Amino acid sequence: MILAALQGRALARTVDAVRSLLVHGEAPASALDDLEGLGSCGLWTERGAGLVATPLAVALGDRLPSAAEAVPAVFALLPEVRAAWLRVLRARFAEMGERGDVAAVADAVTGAGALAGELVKVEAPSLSPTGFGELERAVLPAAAHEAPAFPVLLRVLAATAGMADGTPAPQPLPDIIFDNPSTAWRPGRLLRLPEATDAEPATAVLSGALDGRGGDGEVMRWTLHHPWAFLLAQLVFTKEAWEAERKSGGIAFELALAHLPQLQSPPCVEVVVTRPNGEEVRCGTLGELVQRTLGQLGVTPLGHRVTAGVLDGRLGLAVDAVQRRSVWRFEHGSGGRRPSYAIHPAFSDACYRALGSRAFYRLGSPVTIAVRRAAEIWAAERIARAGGGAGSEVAT
Amino acid sequence: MTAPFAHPLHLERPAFWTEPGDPESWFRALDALAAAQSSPLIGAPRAVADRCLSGVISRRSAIGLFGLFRREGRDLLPGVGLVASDADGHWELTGEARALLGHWKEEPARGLEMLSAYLVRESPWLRLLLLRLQRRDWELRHWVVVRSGRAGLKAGASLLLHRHAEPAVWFAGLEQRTAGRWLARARSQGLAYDPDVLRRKKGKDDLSLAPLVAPLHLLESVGWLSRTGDVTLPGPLAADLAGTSTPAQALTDITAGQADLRGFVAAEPVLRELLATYGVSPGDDTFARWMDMLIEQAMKRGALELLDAEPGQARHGRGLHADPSRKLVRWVVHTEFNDAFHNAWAALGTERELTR
Repeated sequence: MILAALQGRALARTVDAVRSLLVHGEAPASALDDLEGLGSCGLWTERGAGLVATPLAVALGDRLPSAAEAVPAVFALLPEVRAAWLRVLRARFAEMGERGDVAAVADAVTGAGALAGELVKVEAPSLSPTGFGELERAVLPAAAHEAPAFPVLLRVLAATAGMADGTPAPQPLPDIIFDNPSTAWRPGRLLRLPEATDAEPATAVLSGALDGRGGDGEVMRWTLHHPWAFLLAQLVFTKEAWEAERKSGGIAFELALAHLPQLQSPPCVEVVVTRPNGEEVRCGTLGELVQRTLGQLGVTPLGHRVTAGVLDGRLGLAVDAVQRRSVWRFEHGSGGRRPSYAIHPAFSDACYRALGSRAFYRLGSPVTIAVRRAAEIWAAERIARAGGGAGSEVAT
Repeated sequence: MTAPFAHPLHLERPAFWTEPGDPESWFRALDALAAAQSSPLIGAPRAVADRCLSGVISRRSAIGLFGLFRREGRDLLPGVGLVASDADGHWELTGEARALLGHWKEEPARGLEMLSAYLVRESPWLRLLLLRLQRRDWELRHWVVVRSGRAGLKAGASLLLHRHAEPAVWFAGLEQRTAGRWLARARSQGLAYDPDVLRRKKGKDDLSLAPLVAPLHLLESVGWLSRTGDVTLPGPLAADLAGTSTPAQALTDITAGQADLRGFVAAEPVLRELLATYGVSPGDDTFARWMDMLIEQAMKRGALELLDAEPGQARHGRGLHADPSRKLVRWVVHTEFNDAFHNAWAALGTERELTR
């Protein structure tokens, strides 16, 4: 059955489905029907007629140097394929040993890591073709038994070491209801990176789209329908609420003077946290605050090794969108205040009106809390690090 | 506000939902109470809240739901009366509370708007704040900051009390306008604070106006309060607050507030509410005489257009012309009802003039 699923048109469909899962977070369940062995690995959950990737799938990709290698890594979890590839790998190790190439063996053993336990149990090492040639040509640089495939095989098998034994299936997440953010921003949820519109429909992962998902007529509805708009709106909403407390400090989203010409779609926004004692801490970039906030919420950005820098690069699109929709407003700064972004007064009002009061303010409060907590922890870390000798990280 | 009256109605401190942005916690509490009513809810509001609402809302928030009850020989009003006590001391959701709950479950935004209207009509504390703001005795300052912060409403900072600044004179001259219905229901002549409140710890359990930030949030959410702190109530509610609504308007509002999802209301409770609006709370015989005359006059003039009628339960009171098969009614009130109401007033035998 597995062999049949890994040949011809079925194989093409299966590989496409796995790629779609890893890139978009969702795929039709029917494409992987014949590969039941993969279901217990915790890389995705079933949701109706579809499959939804889990944070484990993102973590698997992050263990590999390129996103493309995550695809063979998923197939390496099929017991039959894994056994065949392990036989090849073990034979390659033996070959290196016979050559007396100590440096290569040392590197390979280091790369194998936790895979060593599985390798020593391989009983019939072989450099013969595996019987999964069609799959290998589709997902590896060469057939598994050929030398160019070795480094990739080693990495994908090492990255999946221990996973093939089965992972408890994650709890299925609730359906996303646009006017109830507490259904969306939950631990285990994946969030696509910002993009103009959905490349693929998003139903169970959070869309990265900034347009086309509904609510075009009214800004609060648009914000609730587009997760990145919602997250950025929560940032400036938190800023306003924090400053309203007067004695508790605050947060600012500043734009460096050098970036003023790009204020509509800035390459980077700086985050400055003011502590209750009035001390200003220049913490870092918006990308890192977003990363930390998502961490607080347990939401995982869907992408390969998504760093703060990667997020900064994509956030310009979102900052542009929230300004065009009058969610954010740019303030040029005067009287010693630096140029920065704040909540648009009209959107601030909308947060306290019927839909906003319920959906954005109350049901979105876990996100507000996460933003605040992430910023406070970040500032405290910066202060601690500066106290440890880094020196110039605290601005006044 | 000390009590120069023989039989005052004692007010508890203001009590609303404690998380200002979460008025729906009251709906959740009403839902929990409705579910708990398989066994009678007996005892003081505090005890009922502890028994049935623990884990749903805070006790302080829960107290605000309750209506009139007697304690140590005093009539006490802890809240806004969505939960009312019957003659045997059993607490039950009022018809209006059930209607509100039904509307909220059907369409939350509609439920919240109806709760806003209910509070403007029934909360003496909210009416006091709105009337004082209207008269510029008090001033809401920096509402746009207050709504975002966690501090609530602070007298002297975000709520400036230019006149009537001391608790003793907060309600001075406004007892009828703020609590006329409750005074009629309790058959009391004036308002006083519950002496227990005045004995409680200063700054924590005293007569702070801070809890009023919650209904203000609600009013803003339905668009009746602006970011600058200006209150703009819908016409009928503004008239109710100002005491200028006509009997036809008042009956229409009460009907809208108490109607179930099919549009039916219980005739007697609704008409009793209408009388309470005018500060009158007659005994059963007088009420029956007045009701019969009013209905007869109204029907004759086409002032009450009866669309449908159904039998009801004992708690629905008396039917039209004492007909038990017509306790629940669906009607449309026309402006001619004002004349019928005026003409039937004499049947009450009250010395009170027909004013609010």
